[in-house]
Amino acid sequence: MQRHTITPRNNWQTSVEKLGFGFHTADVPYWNENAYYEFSLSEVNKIETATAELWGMCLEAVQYVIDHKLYAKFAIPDQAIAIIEKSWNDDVPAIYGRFDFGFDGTDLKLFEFNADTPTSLFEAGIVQWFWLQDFASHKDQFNSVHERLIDYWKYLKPYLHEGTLHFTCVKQSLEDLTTAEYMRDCAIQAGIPTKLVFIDDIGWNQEECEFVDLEDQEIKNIFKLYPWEWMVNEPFFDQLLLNPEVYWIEPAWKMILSNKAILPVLWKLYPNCPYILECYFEEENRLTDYVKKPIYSREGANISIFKNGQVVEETRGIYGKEGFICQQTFNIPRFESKTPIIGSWVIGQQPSGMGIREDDSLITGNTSCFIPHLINN
Amino acid sequence: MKKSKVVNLVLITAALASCSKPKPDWDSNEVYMRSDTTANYTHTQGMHLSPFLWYYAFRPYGMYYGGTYHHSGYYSSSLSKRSNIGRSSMKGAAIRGGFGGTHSFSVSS
Repeated sequence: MQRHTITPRNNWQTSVEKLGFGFHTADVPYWNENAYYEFSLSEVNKIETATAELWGMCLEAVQYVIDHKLYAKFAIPDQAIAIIEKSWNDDVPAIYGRFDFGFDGTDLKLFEFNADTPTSLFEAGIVQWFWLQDFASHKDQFNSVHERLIDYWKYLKPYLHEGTLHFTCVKQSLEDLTTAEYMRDCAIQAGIPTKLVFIDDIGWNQEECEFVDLEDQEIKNIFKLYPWEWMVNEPFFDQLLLNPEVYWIEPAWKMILSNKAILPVLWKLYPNCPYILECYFEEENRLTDYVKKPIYSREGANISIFKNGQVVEETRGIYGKEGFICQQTFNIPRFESKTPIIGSWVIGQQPSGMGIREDDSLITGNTSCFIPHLINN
Repeated sequence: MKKSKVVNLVLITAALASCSKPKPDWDSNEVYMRSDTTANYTHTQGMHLSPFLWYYAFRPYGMYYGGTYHHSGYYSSSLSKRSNIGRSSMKGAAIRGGFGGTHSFSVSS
């Protein structure tokens, strides 16, 4: 793994905006093509293998949590348990997730699994693919995201309820809208009829006991870029429980897998796995060099790094009331003072590509940059 | 090869590069909106929204009674009533705003 500094494409902003990438720059640049990461084929194969193996372990871990009723450890409310178990037992359609890895050139370690609302899908599947077409089209990239999404929607199509597949996200985020619309784009290409409805426009028809869109069409299948941990605390969750036949994608069992409480469970189940860092719930912690993470948090918020029991770096935020886990630290080599994190996609049960985000800080937050990559083969 | 052989988009570039459905003879510098596809478009007077901000236009609002959140309409100083209310006879049967009310920021993770 190497980082190379390069000159961006002329007028790259126009190039990416033509793709529909309207959030390439916020207060600070988000998409950064002043550099790229180069991987050897053997490194990519290692990432691919780890992703496949971890996916299998994660499914085993979900079964373990359900079997042992560990919901309290996950701060999952009692009223959500039935729908979690139903979605698991019914094998409700699920499509994707993103493992975040640290890589030191030899060892690859899982930091967390974004299994419910992973973002940077569009950047990984589309923006960096077109960047490579312009930069070095003869080179390869670990990135079959687009093909896999279309193929998997085709596979899922007969398993969905007949009719429209709705897509939803919040109104106020262009990033979320782009991600949801990209996913919808892939579903359209798979031959599925689709509609977009913003999350707060979803209606509940009391007479028919069904969710409806703005045209009062029943919602039977819905891809949501909106987290379960928010939904369970909102007024319509009671209504959701009244109509458990709706396919919410990602399904409710992802409440277990997207929760950082899964990390100590994975450590307990697979202490000899080379990809899994030693990890405990805070009350059971025995580590002195560790990263303390809220079981629910986003964009690197409320994370503390401890060395010899002392905080050496931390971030602020609004999370933490549900509890914390403590995960052994793993030193990632810095490239020109940047710390890269590998986001490895699993789509339809298979490793499907990766995206690299880098940060000046050891903690990847909402000011991190997305950097393209290629394979040197 | 580990990369997609071909990448085509059928929706996203069009959806995010313009702020509304095709609208013949409309001034491309203006924004026309409706909250219901059975309703008429409203020309948003005085608003020069970036195409990327068109989705800011609507805010469901309502109130709680009987233990349930009841949506009542949309906050939009530039949207007329005729564009909020369409021909759907079922419109009044649906309660809206029961998801999404507590979080309006990105789910970015």
